[in-house]
Amino acid sequence: MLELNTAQQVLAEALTTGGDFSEIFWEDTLRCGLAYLGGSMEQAISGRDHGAGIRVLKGTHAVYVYTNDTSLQGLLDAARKAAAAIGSSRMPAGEIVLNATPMGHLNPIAIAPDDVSAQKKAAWMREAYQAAKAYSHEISQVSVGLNDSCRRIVIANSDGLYVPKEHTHVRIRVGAVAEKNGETQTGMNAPGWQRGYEALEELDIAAMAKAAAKQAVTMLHADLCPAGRMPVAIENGFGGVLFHEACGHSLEATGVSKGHSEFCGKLGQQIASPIVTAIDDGTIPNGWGSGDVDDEGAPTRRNVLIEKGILKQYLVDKLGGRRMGMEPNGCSRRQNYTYAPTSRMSNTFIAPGTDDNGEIIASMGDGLYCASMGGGSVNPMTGDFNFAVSEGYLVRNGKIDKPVRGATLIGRGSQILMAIDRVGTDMKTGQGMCGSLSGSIPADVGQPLIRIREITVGGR
Amino acid sequence: MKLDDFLKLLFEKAKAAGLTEFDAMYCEGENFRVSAFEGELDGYHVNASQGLSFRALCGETMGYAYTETLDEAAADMLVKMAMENAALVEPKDPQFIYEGAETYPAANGMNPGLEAVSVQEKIDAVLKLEQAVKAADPRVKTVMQCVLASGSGYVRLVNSKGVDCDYRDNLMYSYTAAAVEDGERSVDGFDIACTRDPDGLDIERLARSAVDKALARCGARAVASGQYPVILEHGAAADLLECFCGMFCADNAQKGYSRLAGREGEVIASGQVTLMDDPMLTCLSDEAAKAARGFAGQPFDGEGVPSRAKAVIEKGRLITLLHNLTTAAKAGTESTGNASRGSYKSTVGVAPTNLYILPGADSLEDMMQKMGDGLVIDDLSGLHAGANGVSGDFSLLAQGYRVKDGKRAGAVEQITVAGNFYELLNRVVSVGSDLTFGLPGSSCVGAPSLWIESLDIAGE
Repeated sequence: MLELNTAQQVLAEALTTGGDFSEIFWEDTLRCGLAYLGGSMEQAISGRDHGAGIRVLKGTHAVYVYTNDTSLQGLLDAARKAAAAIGSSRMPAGEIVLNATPMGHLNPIAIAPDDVSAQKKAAWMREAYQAAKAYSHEISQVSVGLNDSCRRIVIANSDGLYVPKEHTHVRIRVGAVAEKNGETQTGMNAPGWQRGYEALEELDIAAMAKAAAKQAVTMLHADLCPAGRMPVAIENGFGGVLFHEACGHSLEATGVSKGHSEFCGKLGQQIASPIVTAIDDGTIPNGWGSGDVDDEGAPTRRNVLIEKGILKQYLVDKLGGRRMGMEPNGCSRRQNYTYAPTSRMSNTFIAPGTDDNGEIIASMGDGLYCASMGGGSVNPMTGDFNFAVSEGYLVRNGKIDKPVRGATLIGRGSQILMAIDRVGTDMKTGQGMCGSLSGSIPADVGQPLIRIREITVGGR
Repeated sequence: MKLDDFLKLLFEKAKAAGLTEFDAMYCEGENFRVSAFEGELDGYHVNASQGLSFRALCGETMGYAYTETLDEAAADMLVKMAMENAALVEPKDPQFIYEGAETYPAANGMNPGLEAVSVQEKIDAVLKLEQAVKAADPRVKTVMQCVLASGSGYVRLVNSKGVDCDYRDNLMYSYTAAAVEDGERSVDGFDIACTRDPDGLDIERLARSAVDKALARCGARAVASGQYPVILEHGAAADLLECFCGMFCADNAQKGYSRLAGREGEVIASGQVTLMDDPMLTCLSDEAAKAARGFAGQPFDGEGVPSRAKAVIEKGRLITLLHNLTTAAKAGTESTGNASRGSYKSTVGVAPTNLYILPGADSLEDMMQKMGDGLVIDDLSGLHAGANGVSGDFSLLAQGYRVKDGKRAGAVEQITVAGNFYELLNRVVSVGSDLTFGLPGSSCVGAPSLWIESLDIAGE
């Protein structure tokens, strides 16, 4: 653990050349990863990540140094390196007094990974494998991955903050391959939790695994998705990746503070259809992307980003806030100690609306219904986004018809948000890993069933 | 603890625990990155990091563990965890600790001259880059990314059978993204330059290229949906090849994730296609290797097997898949020196080294001339989601321009390009002369521009 008086000395040393803010992010993480393939446990790896990152700010000038050597000497060396990049004239180190904040309890863990035997983990994986394999004779391969991590973190800064936190994540991933006449298709299901193994004890593992197998078999018998512009309905859960990509990233201070977003200067303006309210909430107990404090040590918040179509807030970290003249709002995150933090999403979702699911499909005429989404990406400057449909169905005359494969949705964030013409009532979330400037982090996405009036569907 | 002392201690503890076959891979890196915004440094990162992977053969199974700290507690943990993990894995595939080879190719990835470039020179270069982007054209609105980075790495592999080999490498790269005004919105252009030569970064040229790419996007429109003859420009072709390169790896073939299993000797691609895996880039002329920003790889692979060049596809015929010791033993062949460890946190798999399509004779202009009418695609997005490495299907957001009467015409955006990579390989009409590599990582993938008979485009 990072000692309080070590942190005080290091933070002071980092400010000896004119920096106005210094911060340490100390981390010690235990990880375990198991891979089960084709009926047997194939790989097992575990390890320990350990290091600390030191950040120094002088106005909007930012320096970040990290090291695996977390002895007092190692950290002082890193602090000196950081200080040297801020200024050349050295002053004596001042005094920094830290006030320890107790650990928060937003994400309680009942069964820590340490308390679960390898045999038990293997049994869950075997159950998932067997359920997926048994789904159909066309299932040719099933892989099951199980990963857990326990991160112990201390964040301290020159404003006097000293706050410990812990994150425990567990994720199981089932990948199924279906094969017929040399053609292959895949299906995937990968729920994750910021909880202990009680999450797996409560999970219907067979049902979760079957969903992956069903997707693979369904897509194996699907025709290619026709290309063109059409109405599209996107199911709840991981479908929330639409908002995450099309809009969420473009509201991060990372881009907004530099004028690199299509939503710059639009606070208070209508940027989405009036039926859209979107929220980023890092305070959801045991949420996949939650934390008591963010990775700058600030309490997380429930930030309403868009209310009835009006842009209310950006996601602002400390450095971005300095550029924008805004207060940070508890959304600064990073993958680990090797990354400087920046504004990121946590648990982001479109709030439930009032439309009836049946009516949403019945009134759409001909189009595409996306039962399950893959990942996507966005260029925040232009707002151009894309994402993959992992399980899609054609809609004919307001009825869900046959499955189609290989569909991609593309568009521009600002246009798509305005084109949302239905928002259902049944909000659900899905777990993803979000990659950006400060690394890959767990991010929850969510929405009810929504419909877009018209969007370009890529297919063949 | 010094590395030699740690290895000695670790191996003693392993032997004391009854282990006889094991290896350790140590990785060390020093990285520097500086970024400019509005004439100031807005980011400055410097770090030194290390990690060590330990694996042990216990009976028939291999167990893995890793650490980022080298102390006695870590040595105890590695031995204990590796043994526990080995006990968890079920015996299936043959596992090996490598005997060692007589000779290894000489490493050529380190240029000591590059280490002499000072921090101040790098800072000057990144500030100059930002100015050069701004000065390149009055339509430049903002510089979105302006980064210069350098790094050096050290890898050492030591095992219980006397193998003890190592290599160093280094690299400097710079990238920038320029945003230019295009009526009501902004469009951006990105380019990157990589070098191992201390004078190898041409800042002016990099700036010009990024701005030219942005300007070329101005006035872009979608095209009507349909089938078009397509030239995938070298960068887009390399991105697509990288995305699907897993199909050439024997581990994927043996697990049912590649349709190339057992097809050695068969024609799987157009006769225009020769695909090389060339760790030290010895199969290209010096000139071609230099023009291709050739980055030689490691002299040995993740199991300590010497690296060697091989044709994967020769004039359309599949010659070999890529193997490590385990996949080779299962297939009754020899390792091709393609054992990979993504990092010390990974288990051993299979991956290409420098994988590229051998360039042909035609320039891009020649190919456009011969194609007459069609599209050139120079940018693909969403590869992590819209491409399925198992089925070979892809449906991706694309940008580029039209070709009319053999000449470049209007810019194209908001389209998707869809196809199947297995089919695409058979439909290569011609291979360009402009081989370029993507960013070097654990694998480095390159391609010249590829003229494809036709692909499905979704647009208006």
